[in-house]
Parts: sequence; structure tokens; C-alpha cells
Amino acid sequence: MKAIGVYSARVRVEEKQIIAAVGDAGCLAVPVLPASMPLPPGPASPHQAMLGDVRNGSSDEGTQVPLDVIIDRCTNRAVAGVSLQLARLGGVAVVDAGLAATGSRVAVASALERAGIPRPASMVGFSEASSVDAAGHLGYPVTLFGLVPGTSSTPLQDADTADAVIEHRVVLGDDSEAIVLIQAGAPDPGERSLVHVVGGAAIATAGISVDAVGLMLAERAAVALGAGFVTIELARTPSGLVVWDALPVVDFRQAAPVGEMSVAGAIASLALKASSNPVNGRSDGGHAILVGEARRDIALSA
Amino acid sequence: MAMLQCPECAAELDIDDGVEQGEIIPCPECGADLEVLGTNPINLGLAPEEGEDWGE
Repeated sequence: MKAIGVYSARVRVEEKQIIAAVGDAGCLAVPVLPASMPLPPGPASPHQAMLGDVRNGSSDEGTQVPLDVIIDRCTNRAVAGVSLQLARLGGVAVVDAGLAATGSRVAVASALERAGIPRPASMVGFSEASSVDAAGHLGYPVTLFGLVPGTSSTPLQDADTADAVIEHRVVLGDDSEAIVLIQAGAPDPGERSLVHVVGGAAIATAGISVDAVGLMLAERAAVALGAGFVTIELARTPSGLVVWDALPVVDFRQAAPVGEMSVAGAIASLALKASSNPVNGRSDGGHAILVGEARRDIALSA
Repeated sequence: MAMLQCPECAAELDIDDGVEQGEIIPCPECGADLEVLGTNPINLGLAPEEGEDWGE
């Protein structure tokens, strides 16, 4: 029986739905707690294996379950970035949000630009002075993003606010926090929509209604990011609909389905596909993120 | 006791009627920290996570 790991610190509604969908397909879904066990820095030896679900102290505690695929639902992106890289080195396929999971917001923005996907005008600031300059160059309001995809953003309505926020960030943060992506505009939530894209297809939306053009835009963005699943945030701006952000792990319990497939069902389907068809490297078609030649055991913890 | 649903994992929770507003209750199923937002009726929400907001 194929074993799919759902990599998340908590089993929320979304993870429960994914686990149920994997189970419905006749596979074993194992919740895997991030960061609870040290890992070797290189490929894991074959005798090492994922541990089963010990969350509830069930009789399964300590059971070793070699995983075929890991579904990245980890909200701690620092932990996910390192641990899932090690999982890949161990030959475990990881289904994730592509560049939105493994890259920075700048890498995401660059990939979308290269793909010709409409985005707001943006600049990267590397210091207090350059970030304030960037905001002024773009013209207020602007929105400030940290480098890690999925972290919150800050609308900056004027130069005084920008000075204060950026100075605070640079003074109190470390070197990486001084680097920010600044985008023109600050659309309010009533002008934005989340599109959940799985396997290259828009599955569900939340927020303002999205027409077929918007769904296609989100799908193109997901493909450009090499994402197995990703949430694309669209924003309505004076220059038209743009891709505002790409998010690696998002709640989808309130999302309205586009068709008959649920987000959880689509993710489960993608993971099962990955388990039966692992290939080297990322697909460039917006489908499964399949890394590793074959199933191999690796030490991660549950 | 009041029967409520965990806003994070939808688990059914038995909440003591004597809880106080602002009290933090861990969900026994998913481990999320839940804050009592109101007591009449009892209303639960995810407790805010502590983290640096850079004054934002």
C-alpha cells in the first residue's frame, strides 16, 4: 500500500480532508510532524524510515512507515525549506508549491515576470535607504513583503509610514529581514481573490469572484512556479487583474469549488500520481513536483 | 459544559461553563491554542501567535 505523509504541525480541517481523500483512494495517509526529530544532512540510509503518527499516543506510536510521497502543508517555512530538501535528497517525492515553497518572494516574482504574467510594478530593497527609495519610486501606496512566501505583507500608504516601518524592520531584524519586495499598490481584501491551483488546474476560489480569464492567469502562474499545488492571489488594479502573491500553505476550507473536484481530493490525487510516477526534477507543466528516482526510506519524524 | 467546535480542526470540544474571556484552552486533538473570545455564549478563536511584527 502506498504511504503518503501529510507534513504539518497540526492536523487542521484541511489536513483531515487530505488524509480522508488519500484514504478514499485506498492509500495510507500519515500525519508527519515537522521538526521533531534530527535528520542527517545527506541522503538517508535505507534502514531509516518515517515514523508513524504518534500525535495521539495511539498504538501506532513508533511504527515506522516508509513514505512514498510527502505533501507539504507545513506553515513553518524555515523548517519546511530545510527538512523537505533533506527528504528529497533521500529520494522521497515532495508535492509542494514549487518556487513558492522552496524559493523566496523575489524568486517567485522573477519567475512570474519571466513567464510574462501580469504583476504589479515591483522593486527589491536591500537596506533602509534603498527600500524607502523603492517605495518612493513606485509611488504610494505600496505594499511591503518579506522574502519568505506566505508571510504577511504590510501596506504603506505614505512616506512617513514607509520610513517608520522599514526603519523598524531594518533595525530590529537580521540581515535577511532588511531585504524586502515592494509592490506598487495596496489593494484591499475586497479587490483580491485566492485561487487554489492543483496539478495546473484551478480547483477553488475565495474572495472576489474570478472569471475564466482570472482562473487561467492563476493556472499560468502555478505552471511558471512549477507548483504541484499553490494558492495564487489575484488583485484587481487600475491596470487590470494581476498576480499579487503566491502562497505555499493556505486554508481552503471556505473556498468555493470551481468544478466537482475538491482541493483536498485534487491534492490527494496529485500525491498518488507522484507515488506511482516519480521522476527526477520538477515538472514544467504545473503538475506533480516529483523529485527522486524511487521510494527510499528516510528519517523524519512523526 | 458547552459543546463547541475547534476553529482549527473542527474537533468537538466540551468547554466548561466557567471559562473566562481571554482564557487560553489547548485543543486536545490538534494542539492549537484557542482563546475564549466571549462567554455569553462561549465563543472560541485561534489565539494570536507571538511573533515579531517589526512594528507593522
